[in-house]
Formats: sequence, structure tokens, C-alpha cells
Amino acid sequence: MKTFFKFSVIALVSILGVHFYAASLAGGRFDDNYNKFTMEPKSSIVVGSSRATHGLNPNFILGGEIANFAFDAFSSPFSKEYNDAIYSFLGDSLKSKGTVIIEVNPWTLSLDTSLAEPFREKDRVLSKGISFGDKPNFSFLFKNYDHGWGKIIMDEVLFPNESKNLHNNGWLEVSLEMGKPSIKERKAGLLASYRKKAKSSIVSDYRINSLIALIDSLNDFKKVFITKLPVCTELLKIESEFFNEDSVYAIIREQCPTTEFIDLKPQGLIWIDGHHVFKNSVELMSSRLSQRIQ
Amino acid sequence: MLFNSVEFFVFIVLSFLAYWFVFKTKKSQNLFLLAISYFFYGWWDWRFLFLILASSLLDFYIGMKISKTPEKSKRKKLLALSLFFNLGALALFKYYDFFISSLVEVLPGLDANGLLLKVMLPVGISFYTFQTLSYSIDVYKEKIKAESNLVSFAAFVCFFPQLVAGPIERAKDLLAQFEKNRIFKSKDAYDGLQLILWGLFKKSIIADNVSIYVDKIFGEYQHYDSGTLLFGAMLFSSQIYCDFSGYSDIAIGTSKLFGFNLSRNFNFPYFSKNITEFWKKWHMSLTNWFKDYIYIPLGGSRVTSIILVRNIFIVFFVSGIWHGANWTYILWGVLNGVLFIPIALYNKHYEKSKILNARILNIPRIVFTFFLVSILWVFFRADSIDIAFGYVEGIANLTDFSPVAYLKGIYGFVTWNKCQYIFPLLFILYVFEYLNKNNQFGLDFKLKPVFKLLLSIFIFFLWFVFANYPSEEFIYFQF
Repeated sequence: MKTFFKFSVIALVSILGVHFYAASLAGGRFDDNYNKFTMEPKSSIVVGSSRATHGLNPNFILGGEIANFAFDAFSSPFSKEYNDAIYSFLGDSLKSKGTVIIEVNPWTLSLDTSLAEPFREKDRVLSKGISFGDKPNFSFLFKNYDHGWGKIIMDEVLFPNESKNLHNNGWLEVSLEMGKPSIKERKAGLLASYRKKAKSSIVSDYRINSLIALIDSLNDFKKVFITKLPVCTELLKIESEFFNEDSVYAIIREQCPTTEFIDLKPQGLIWIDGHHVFKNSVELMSSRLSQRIQ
Repeated sequence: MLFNSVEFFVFIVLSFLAYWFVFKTKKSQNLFLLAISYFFYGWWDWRFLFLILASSLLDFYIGMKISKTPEKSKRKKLLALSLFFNLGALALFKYYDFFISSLVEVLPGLDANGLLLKVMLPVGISFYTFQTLSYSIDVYKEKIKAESNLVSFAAFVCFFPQLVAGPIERAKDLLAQFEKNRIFKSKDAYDGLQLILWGLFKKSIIADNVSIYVDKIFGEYQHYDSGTLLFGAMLFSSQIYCDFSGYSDIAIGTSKLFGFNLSRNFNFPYFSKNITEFWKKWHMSLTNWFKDYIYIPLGGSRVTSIILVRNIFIVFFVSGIWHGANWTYILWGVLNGVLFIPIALYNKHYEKSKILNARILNIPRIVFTFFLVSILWVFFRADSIDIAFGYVEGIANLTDFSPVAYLKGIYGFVTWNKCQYIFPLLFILYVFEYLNKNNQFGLDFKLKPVFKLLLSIFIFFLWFVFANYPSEEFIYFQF
């Protein structure tokens, strides 16, 4: 029994050791969200969906003193889950002065009624009670990572994922082949899926009220801006089929009169798929936004 | 608490230490096993505990009563009470809503809403019900003596490694082990760890990776060509085998750590040369249960051909419905019966045939049996009979009916979904299992300890890198 016990202890320590080692290597290449849960809270943040995650690099906004806390339309549409995550992420800096940039778009203010569960955020990363600010973040790895932890070593070190890198400030750098046929193919796929989605999507009072509640809770201490990031004209047309922008924004303006709306111009921007800007355009778009909020 | 979860890992380490270092007597170990088994089962939903407690108490007292009752008629009544309670609970929780829904389809005027119970199915109810049933029947038939120790009996009913998905144990095998003193045997413990590792390989690496693509293909089967559909069916064959036999391996391995031996549940079924051999090697504890408690009491094979066909049909029909309250399972069972019958009827001629049993035909026969079984699994996996037939029709689509078209379809799916990595993993699985087909399990190589250790480290690293943890439970938990 002694030998077996010794063997078991050595095996156990080795198993735990390789898992700790893998966790210590976890960074921006193995998962699209992990670094958002390890970055230090800042009193200024960017909030929104994948348009903001891909498109706004904090290095070019407010001298880098801002964190990108945007996720994607499935995980972070305006909802109680997202608001709670924002408060939890900000922690003590919730009540200190700062700037909040809220990126809004039709998909984060609506519901897809064709889905069995239109509130998809309920089983996504922000509703799993993961803690913020720890590195390595075991809470994230246990609750949200669905693979063997050895894959972290593969994706981060041995065969680094070259197409995506989530930086420590929350900006998701996406590197894709940008030849015209590739862009055309991606854009066609994206537009087809959004066309289908638009047919079953409706503006949601719940989402609008969640956004208003978020602005209300942040307004006392921070300057809040709402921004609509540019997308290709074809997508704008699809969005207008179910989303009356003027009437929705009028409600928000009425409820949050001190909040400033910023419309950014699309000139000079290149998209990877008509929806998310190419990484070379990120500096231009982020700087443009930064100038408007100074 | 899933076998491939962190919670179970912590549970098993702490339980193992307490079992061997704190509770050293048979009595205290049995009590401890009972407590942790209830804890394990209550982890899903504490309300399930009431049912298993009631089932244990009832069968314990009925067993005692039967053994003390000499009159046959009274003994029969007591057995009937046990059958009524156990099968009644199973019928209520598992089949009642299904039969009501089916009745409503036949009688459209009937309003189902007021009649449906919509109760949650207790995990593993089919498994422990069959285990307690066999105990009562064996006591009634005087094959075993009634257990007089309630703790041992309750621990036998809810022994946590095999509680939720088997193997379905007989009292003469498992209950007897609760009566013996357990001595720690290093060899058993090392074997147990290897079995657990191999079970994790099957479940977390093969089944849970393959399930991603199976779900994709079955979810949108209308959009795929025949090659992809055939590929999906064969992948599901590997998924269900690895999911269920992986569970069994972990269950048997865990039991070994506690000094218990569970019966073997799989004997490399996909290397079978015909469907009867397959059924002798697949879910063996259930097949043997059906054989002993249904097939043989009906007359077995020493009957006329018509009665034999009837007996086979009954067994496969019950097997189908045992798996789940859905017509797809019933049809799956019946179709297996249809393929089983010709071999059962002509077994004697078949076994004597030199041509059919030529060694050169072994591989084609294994491949053909795997193909047949895979097609039948479609009925098991599909959400409805219509979908199952649509899927099979898709496989047999005559416009694609050529080996090249099939391979093209598979190649297209694999490259588009970047799932090439599953092929080397499947290769390791089937080669290891084939090399060990005369041993106990796929990692049971007769090697020097140092090579065994290296092999285990290799499998551990595969698990470390390729394991996948989707939210789904083991497939057989739902039964």
C-alpha cells in the first residue's frame, strides 16, 4: 500500500503541476475572452459587442487609460448579466471618475425570436459567476474552458494561434487573409446570416431598459458616451429592416439627457467582413473616437 | 457529479483516503460507502434519494419476508409486490408521459395537458431498478439467500461507481463482496487507475470530441450528402461506444480502488463478426439480465422456430423500450431483433459453414457488422422516426451511390470542419483495443511496469491536450 500511496502522491503532484504550468501560460491566444477576466480594472472602460472588441484599441484612446470590456453580441447584449459583470469588473473604481464608451448596435438591443432561448447571454461567459482580476484566473478555466488545459500550452506556446490575439487591455486583434476574394466570401457569409437573423429579430424593451439602467448607474461618477461604430452599407440596410434607429435612440436620449451620442464616419476604414474593422483600421477608428471624447 | 469532472476527482481522492485509512473494518467501510454513495447520488438532485431509499427498504424487507415464507403462493405475492413497486416506479417516472403522449396522437380528441405528469426522470433509475429486481427474483427462486444486513443491502443497491449507468450487478456477485473483508491489493489499484485513465480517454477525448461533429451532422442532416451522413453514423457508433464503455471502465476502475470487482460490460463489440456476437459483447450486464430474466423463462432457444422468433422479438422490444420512452428506441430494438433472428435460427448451419467462417472473411465480416450496427444506431440517435428514416434514406441516396462520392463527401466535411485530428485519436483507440482484444480492456498490455507507466503517461498527455468537456452528461445517464 505504501508504494501505491507514494506513486499516487507523485502522480497527483505531477498532474496538478502540469495543470498549474498550463494555467500560468494562459493568455490572449487560447481564448477570446480570458484576458478580459485577468486585466486590472480601470476607471474608464469600453462596453459593447464584438464591433468594439475588434475595433477599439485602448492604446489609442485616452492615452491608454481605458480598458476594453466589450465581448460579443451573444455574451454581452445589454442585459442584467452584462451590467452586473461591468459593476463587478469595475469594483472599487465604479465610484471613481472616468469615461465610459458604450458601443450600441441593433443586435445588442434586440431579441432573436426564432431561438428557443432568445436570452442567450444566460449560459454564456458573463453569467457563470467568474471572478475578475486574477492571473491565472482559475475561476475562468474551471467554469468556462471546455478543453484539456494542455491545449493552452499548444495554443499559446507550441502552435500559437496566429489569427487572434486578445491583448491585455481587452482589444482583440484579428489577423485574417485580406485578399479581395477572402473578404468577399466572409462578407457574403456574414450578410446571409444577418439577413436571416433580421427577419426574426425584434427591438427589445428589456435590452433598452438594461442599457438605460447601466447609464444611470454610471452617470453619477463618469462621463458616458454612446457610440455607433461604422459598418458596411449593406449591413446597415439589413439592420434598418427591423431596427428603427431614430425611435430607439430617441428613447435613450430622453431617458439619459446628459449622455452624448457619437456617430463615427466610415471614411478610410476597411472591414474584414463588412462588420468588424480590419486591424490596420483600428488605430484610425480608435483615434477618431478618442478625439471626439476629449 | 460526472466521472470526468473536477468534483468527482476531489470526491474520489478524499473517499479513497478515508476508506482505507479511517474506516478499517468491514462494517464501517460499508457504512461509509453507503454514505458517500448517497452523497454522490444526491449531488444530482437530493429528491432522487427518497426513491432509491424506498426501493432499497422495500426490497430488503420483501427479500427477508420471502426467505422466511414457506408457502409458494405467499412468496409469489411478495415477489409480485416487489415487481409492482419497482416496475411501477419505472413506469411512472419514465414511461407514463410517453404513453399518454402516444395515446393522444392516436386519439386526437384527448387533452394531454391535464394527464401528463411532467416529472423529472431520476438518474439511473433503469439501472438500479433492474439490479433490485434481480435480487428479489433470485431470492424468490432461492438462487441466493436474502440479505439480513440493511446497510450491506442498501450499499449494494446504490454503490456509487455503478449506480447511474451500470454495470447492472447481480446480488450473488456484488452483494457477496460487501460481506467479505476487503484487503488493499496494489495490483488491483494500479489496474483500477489504468482503467480510469482509459475510460477518460474514451469519454473525454473520443466521445466528447466526436459528439461535436455528430451533433452537427444529425442536426442538419438534410443538407449533407450521403458520404457525410454515413460518416456521421459511423462517428456516432464510436461516440456511443466510447461514452458508455468509457463510463463502464471508470466505474470498474473506481470499484477496484475500493477493493470491489464489477462485472465486465463490454468485450470489444466492434470487432464482432456478426450481430449475435455483437450483442454478446455490447452492454453485457444488460444482455445477460434479459437472457436470465426474460429469454430463458420464455423458453430460450430450446423451442420451436416460431416461439424462438417470438422470444427474440420480446427481448429486443423490451431492450428498446428499456433504453428510453421514445418510438425511435423501440424501433431500434426491433430492427436489431430482425437482424438477430436469421443467425439465431440458422446458427448451427452457420457455425459449421467453412466458407462463411473462413479466416480471410474475418475483416470483411467485422467491417460489415460495424456498418450494420452503425446504420441501426441512426434510429437510436435520431430525435424521431421520420428523421431516422430521412437520414438512412440520405445515406442510400442513389445519385451519390459510389465509393468515390462517399469518400468525397467525407473529405469535404472533414476539411471544412477541420476535424482531421480525430482520425489519429480513433486510430489509437481501435488499434489499442484490437491489440488487447483477448485482455480485459484497451490499455491492458502485458508489458513491464516501466513500459506500462510510459504508456499511461502517453495517454495522460493525450487527455491533457485533447480532452473536451461539453456540458452534456454521459449518454446512458438518461436511461
